[in-house]
Amino acid sequence: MSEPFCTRSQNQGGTRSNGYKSPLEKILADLRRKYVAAAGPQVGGLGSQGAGSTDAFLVEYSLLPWNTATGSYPAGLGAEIGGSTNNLGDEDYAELRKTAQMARSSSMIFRGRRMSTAYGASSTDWLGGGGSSGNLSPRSSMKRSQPSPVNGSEKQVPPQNNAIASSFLDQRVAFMECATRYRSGLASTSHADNLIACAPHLRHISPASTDMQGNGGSSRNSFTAFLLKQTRSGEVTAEMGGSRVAAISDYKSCLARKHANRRLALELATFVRVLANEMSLEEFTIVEGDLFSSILTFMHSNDDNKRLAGVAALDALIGATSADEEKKITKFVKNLSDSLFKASNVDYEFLSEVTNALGKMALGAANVDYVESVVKRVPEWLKRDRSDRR
Amino acid sequence: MLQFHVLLISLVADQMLMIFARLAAVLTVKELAQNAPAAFYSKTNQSEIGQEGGTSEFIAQIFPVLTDPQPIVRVCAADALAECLKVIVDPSRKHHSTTRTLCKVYSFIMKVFNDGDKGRRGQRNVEKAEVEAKQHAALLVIGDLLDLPLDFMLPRFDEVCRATLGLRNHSKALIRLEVVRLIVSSFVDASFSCVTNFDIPIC
Repeated sequence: MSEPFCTRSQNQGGTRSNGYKSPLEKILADLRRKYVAAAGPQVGGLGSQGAGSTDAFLVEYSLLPWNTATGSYPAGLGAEIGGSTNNLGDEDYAELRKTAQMARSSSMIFRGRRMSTAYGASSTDWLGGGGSSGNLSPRSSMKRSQPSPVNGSEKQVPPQNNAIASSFLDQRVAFMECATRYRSGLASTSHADNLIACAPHLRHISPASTDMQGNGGSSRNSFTAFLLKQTRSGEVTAEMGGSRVAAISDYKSCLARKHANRRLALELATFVRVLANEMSLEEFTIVEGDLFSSILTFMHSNDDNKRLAGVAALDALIGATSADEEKKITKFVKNLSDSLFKASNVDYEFLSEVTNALGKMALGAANVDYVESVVKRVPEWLKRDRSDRR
Repeated sequence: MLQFHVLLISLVADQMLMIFARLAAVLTVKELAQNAPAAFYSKTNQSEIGQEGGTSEFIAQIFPVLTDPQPIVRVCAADALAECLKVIVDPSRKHHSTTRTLCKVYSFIMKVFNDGDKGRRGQRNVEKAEVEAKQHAALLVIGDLLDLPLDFMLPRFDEVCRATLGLRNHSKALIRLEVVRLIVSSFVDASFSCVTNFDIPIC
């Protein structure tokens, strides 16, 4: 009886697959199989008004066509333009990609980290404004007013559909600028994102990564490649080519994993919301308990893939409905903090995902105690000497 | 010999754990300052009695991490510092002057640049790596300071500009990359273009 839904999800996997099979797929498929009635009409309805705006944006983002040639999404991490990527159909994306490539080939002025008078514009705006799709964040509207070479493309549009076309075009301009700048490693306001866009291999912490030569950086980023080639000491030799290719393919698979996990986690969260409305409270408590325990098993496993999938699922479920909200929050905070400071063999990706989730938890109303406890402990963590970490 | 190996391995493992603890700490600080600025500000300010103390003491904790040997830890610390500074200088809750805190940060940068000239003549590799890590950190922090919506950097802009461009031929790619990033993103900014005439040859 579950065939229609299985085939549906397989089809979806076929169209949006980026070559990585997330461990969450099994959990989601099991849930759908068990609760077919709830799974029915909502399977395709992701990112609708019911979901929180964060989720809606992320789902939209995960719908971006995966470019297998370059191994990336066309817009990189389009976080800066916030809600402006909503409401774009497939054909729009195709057009966007075409124009973005055009813009990339022409020489562009990069405008990266810049003065921003709006605090946290990129994060708070679209988190707070539930479902306000199409609102440009102050950051991008500021950018829009800047004269930019891309603005020339506005002339191609016939003047009759001014209102809609121009708003869409503004979004498109912002989108393209973001795409180009992200690819050059200049886009993000976060130093970490910028570094990883240019030298992805540095996220693996090893004695070798302290070398600041930056070999193994992304060669498709011609700007960076040009800079990196310019070594004075001539340390870049032929054998570095191999490691560079390896680093890039590693980075590609890491991105693919991240987005597959995120997409499935959001589907899972949407499905949990649906289940919460479909069932009685007692039933839902049991289902939720099972789900949480399987996710927490993932989080505490030693397998990297499972661990990242678990964190992604936890992250997505923060906003979902729960039978016992208080208990859920306590449980999540405890598990996230534990995995942050007690887990062995962690890496940067895992830590940044976990802290992202913790940051999301801190958005809640009952965050003051948690923030206080962390703030008191941080100096200890920073000063901590070797070997007294558990 | 075996004992020596075991000792070495455990030493390396401990060092890795320390790096991860630092990384986790700065990432957490960043997220908290970003997502719960009000709670963060009040909690970091609780310890202080005088006019400025809590938060800037808190910021002082981040400085040692800024010069970590691992680039990824340095950039995360710089992100955390940027978020903390944003929380502090937020005009909506500004009760006292923030110049002193910012001056501390600025003196960190200038100290690195002044020491850097000495370090270049030094021969030992370890010292050289430390100086380079500090220079990288200083460039990252300049980006943070330029991003603040204040006129704090306006009188210091020429000095910073010269110091940054002085590093443009550095032998390490990451430092050159950071210089270029500063030039294209922060220096060539509308608010500064009026005060700067680029009389320093870039190439």
